[in-house]
Amino acid sequence: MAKQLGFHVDATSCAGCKTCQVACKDRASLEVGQLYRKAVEYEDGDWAKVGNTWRFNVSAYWLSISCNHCAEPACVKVCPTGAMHKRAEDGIVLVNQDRCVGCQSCVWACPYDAPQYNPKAGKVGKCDLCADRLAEGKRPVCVDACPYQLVSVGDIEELEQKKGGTAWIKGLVNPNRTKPALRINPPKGAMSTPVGRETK
Amino acid sequence: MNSGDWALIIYTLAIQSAAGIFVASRLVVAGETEKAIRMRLLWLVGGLGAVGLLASFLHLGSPLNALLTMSNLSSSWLSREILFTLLFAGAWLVSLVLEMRGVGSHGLRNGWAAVAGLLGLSLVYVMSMIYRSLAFPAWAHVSTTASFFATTGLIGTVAVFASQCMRKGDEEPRGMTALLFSALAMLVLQMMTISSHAAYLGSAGKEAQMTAAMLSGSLVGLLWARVALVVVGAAVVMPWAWRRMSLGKLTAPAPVAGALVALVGLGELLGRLLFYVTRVKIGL
Repeated sequence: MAKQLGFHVDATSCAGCKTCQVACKDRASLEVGQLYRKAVEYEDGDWAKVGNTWRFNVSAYWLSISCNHCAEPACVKVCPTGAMHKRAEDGIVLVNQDRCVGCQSCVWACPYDAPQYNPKAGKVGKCDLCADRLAEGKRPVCVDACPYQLVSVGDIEELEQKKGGTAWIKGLVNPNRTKPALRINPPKGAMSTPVGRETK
Repeated sequence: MNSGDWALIIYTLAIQSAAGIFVASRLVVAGETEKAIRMRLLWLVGGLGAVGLLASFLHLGSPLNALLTMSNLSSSWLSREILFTLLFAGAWLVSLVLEMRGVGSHGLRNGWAAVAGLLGLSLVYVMSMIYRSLAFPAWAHVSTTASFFATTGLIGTVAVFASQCMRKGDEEPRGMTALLFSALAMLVLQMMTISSHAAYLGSAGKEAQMTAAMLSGSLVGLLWARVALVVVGAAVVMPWAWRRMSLGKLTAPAPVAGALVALVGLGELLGRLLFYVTRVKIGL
């Protein structure tokens, strides 16, 4: 089986400092409003009646997320020009800027909001897993930037064997849809059952 | 909603109107032989198609790459939409030339119109499948397809009915009863679509419920205005005009025809606006 590169994120200790986000935005020289990697906060919960009392069941966590270079990428499927494509040798999903028509179909289709439309260029860009740095033997800038070293890159099966993790935590969609090359060590509360919601 | 959505609203409405008017008008004139009658509304269909195409280009960030957009027909509904848009446009052009120059028998021209009409309806189906994306639960339902077809049928029948109200001289109105009942059937379909979509939203997850909350909250006025406009147009003004025409008492056809098209057109425009405004995407 061909190698599939992806990210592992240890979200158990992420404090939401956004250093990964800033490093990525700086490297890609992104416009205001565009992020190839985001540190996002997820919150949910409600009041639940327990006996004669009401108790709250609130959970919140930070997660650093970018393009997950899915095995069955929704963005590639919907792209009308073939600009969005998956590289055979390492599974990285890339955009051929020369072919992008700026229709934003990929922006609509991706459940992780990875493709970002640049209105000035009239084209879509996204995380390319810092493919040029990987070719030089370096790590992606988000991996290098994390002060806690919580983001790792590598073959997704090897990462899972070494670090474990799941691609389905609260806030993320069912990974069977696109099979993301993403593994997350879930933070406390991310796998629990919020009041009135289903368990993930 | 962003400014690019307006291009899509105009594109989808203009193309669906063109397909609906083409099909309804070809059915009404199928038995006619006079050139002026058979040509009626064909230019309007072309004009609406041109407006739709122009709007679709405004949506593209790099329109110079538009020639590449049919490169992924195997999996991209957008590629298929562009292919069917071109096929429908080409079929309309051939139909126009056949009618203008009187080429072939009426049977041949009717047969070609049937092919073009089927391509137009196929385009409406393909267009609806673009929106039935799992990323937007509010759209990922059969009601999206049904609603697009209801819009196509409603605007098509109402516009052709209005044009028949505006006929000149001693020309007899054609197909008025069939147009009226077809429009009422499309209205019923549109109302059923709205109610089945509302029921679906309640059971399709939190994002769909957010859409439902918008439709029943801050945007409920627009929703009712949309319903009222199409109901008044197709179920009140249209039957009234039909009755007056049957009795030969429709003395001012132009304002009635204009009001009919304006009511249904505005109602469908509001419906499409709500379709885009209330979308909520899954994920973080």
